[in-house]
Amino acid sequence: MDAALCWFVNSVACSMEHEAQAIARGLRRRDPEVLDGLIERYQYRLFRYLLFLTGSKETAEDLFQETWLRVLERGRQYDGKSRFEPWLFTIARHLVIDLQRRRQPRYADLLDGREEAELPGPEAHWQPSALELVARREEHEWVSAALGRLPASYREVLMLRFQEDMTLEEIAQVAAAPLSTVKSRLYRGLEAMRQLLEGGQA
Amino acid sequence: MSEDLHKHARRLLAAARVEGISDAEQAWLETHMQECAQCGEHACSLARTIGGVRSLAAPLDPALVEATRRRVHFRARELREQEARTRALWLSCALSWVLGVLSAPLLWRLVAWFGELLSLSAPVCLTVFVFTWLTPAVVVAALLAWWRTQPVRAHSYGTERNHALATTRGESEN
Repeated sequence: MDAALCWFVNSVACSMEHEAQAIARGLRRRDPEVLDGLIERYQYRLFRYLLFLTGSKETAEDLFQETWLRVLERGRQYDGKSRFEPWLFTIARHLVIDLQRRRQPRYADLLDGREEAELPGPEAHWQPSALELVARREEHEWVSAALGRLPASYREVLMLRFQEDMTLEEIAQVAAAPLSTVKSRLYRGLEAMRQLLEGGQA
Repeated sequence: MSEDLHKHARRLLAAARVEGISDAEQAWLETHMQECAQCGEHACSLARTIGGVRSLAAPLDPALVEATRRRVHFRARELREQEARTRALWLSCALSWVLGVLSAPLLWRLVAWFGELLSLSAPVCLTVFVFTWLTPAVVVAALLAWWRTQPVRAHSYGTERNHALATTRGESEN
């Protein structure tokens, strides 16, 4: 049984490695078909990441396009030794940071965790407004609004961990942060999110 | 039951979701959860939160994807053409250098013969030689450099890109 499981795990890992290599080869050639395939495959995940990171549909749409253009231009930097997703999300993240720097030079790195002090604490339960109460009828909008209240650095790690199912190491790579910081943001972000949802529902 | 045990249990509940816990910790947690309704409720709350985050969706406009594909295709073509120009530039430079080196002795003889014929001094002959030898390479390099900086079908790319974006925005606004 163990041997079968081992074989299965190895074959999955092997197939993922081959896939990453194929993507890297396609990106080196700037093959439009490979890029079409990647857009098709990662469109929803990338857009969701950008939307919840920026909180703006229009900005997310612009950055969605820019991300794929950047993938095309910098495709040769992807070596195919690791999964494609972290590389893709790293590019998207850099574009978000660049945009923040252009728009708000004073608040350059909202994603670097400088706003940790603004994290809603247990004593500061979120009191939903009348508008938010209407939105609450839709669970999705309720959760989305709660997530939007978290600092971007916490939103980011929560999205990557629980939506993208990335490993902590991959998140650290995307967020360009030490593993300990990623863990700390995850614990604090998760607890803040739980309190926001439970507090709002109380 | 001490408060520390509840704290420990809640820490483990979060750790199980974030980074995983050992079998021993899992066993301890399960035992604790059977006895503690408060921590059980906390576990449910945590599960609801994570379920909520997982359930978040972002509706994506198909027109945006199509516009992105078009832009990527245009840019890919543009990059390929730029690369072809760069290759041509380097090839021309290399060829020019080889031909220049090979033709230098012949050119020098030709200039020397003209110098003798017209009774020119050695410095003048040398200047004529250097000028004649370098001018074609400089002109070709300048032309190639200028050609390389020219945008590839700039008009059609810009128009189609703007059209794609306008279409996307227009449809999403409607």
